[in-house]
Amino acid sequence: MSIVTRLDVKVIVGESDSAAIFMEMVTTDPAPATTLVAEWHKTRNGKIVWATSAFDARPFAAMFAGPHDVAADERAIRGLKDTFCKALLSGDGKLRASIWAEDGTVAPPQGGLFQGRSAMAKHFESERASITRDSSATFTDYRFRFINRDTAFVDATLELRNVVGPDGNVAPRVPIAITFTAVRKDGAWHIQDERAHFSIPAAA
Amino acid sequence: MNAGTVLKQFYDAVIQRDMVNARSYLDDRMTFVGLFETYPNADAYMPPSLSS
Repeated sequence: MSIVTRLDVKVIVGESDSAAIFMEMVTTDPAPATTLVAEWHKTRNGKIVWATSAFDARPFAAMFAGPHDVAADERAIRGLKDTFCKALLSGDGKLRASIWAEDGTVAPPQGGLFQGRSAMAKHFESERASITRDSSATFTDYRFRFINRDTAFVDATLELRNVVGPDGNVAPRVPIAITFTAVRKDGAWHIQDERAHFSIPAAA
Repeated sequence: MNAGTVLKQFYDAVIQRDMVNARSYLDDRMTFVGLFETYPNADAYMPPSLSS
């Protein structure tokens, strides 16, 4: 492979017309790694006539993957927040928590930190009283940065309308700044860690 | 020359980037079965441009 920058031979073992070599193969971009390689060679009349190699190919998987479909991944991540809104308005805490990874965390705008779907669901259920028949929830202003194919840093604005505040009054508009990491595991996107803050209007 | 010695001398040459010498340890009709690709002969495995 042309990306190989160094071979570090560890041992060569020979027996009759067969020999095995174990070496570390150091590679550079697009697959920087140090990989243990085993090769079995057969020789005849002082020349190699057959060889095969085996090594852990996972560091090289990206070299053979297709182009990253960023739009599809952004749609999938937005879909999580669509589920969030639907669950928020229907008061379904478990559904709302299901968009997080099992060990995910959320710091809601009113404070606190909840880890794991069970703790989140319990907290979300406690917010059910803030939802009225006229409540709405909309995510806008998404910004995505894919750290790699399976990890994205995302921020967005959640706008709640007609929700009951801690003072018991209905707030016509509550903008919330949301920042989160999304991760893909086993082909499905989830929120890993999310931090939310009540947005403060910019000074005029 | 036993297989272990052939292999050691082949890789000594490869590591020293002496591809002419390395190529001399390959039978023209050798086959290399790699994880990503199989090379059906020595010229496919080690193109002449590398060893000329």
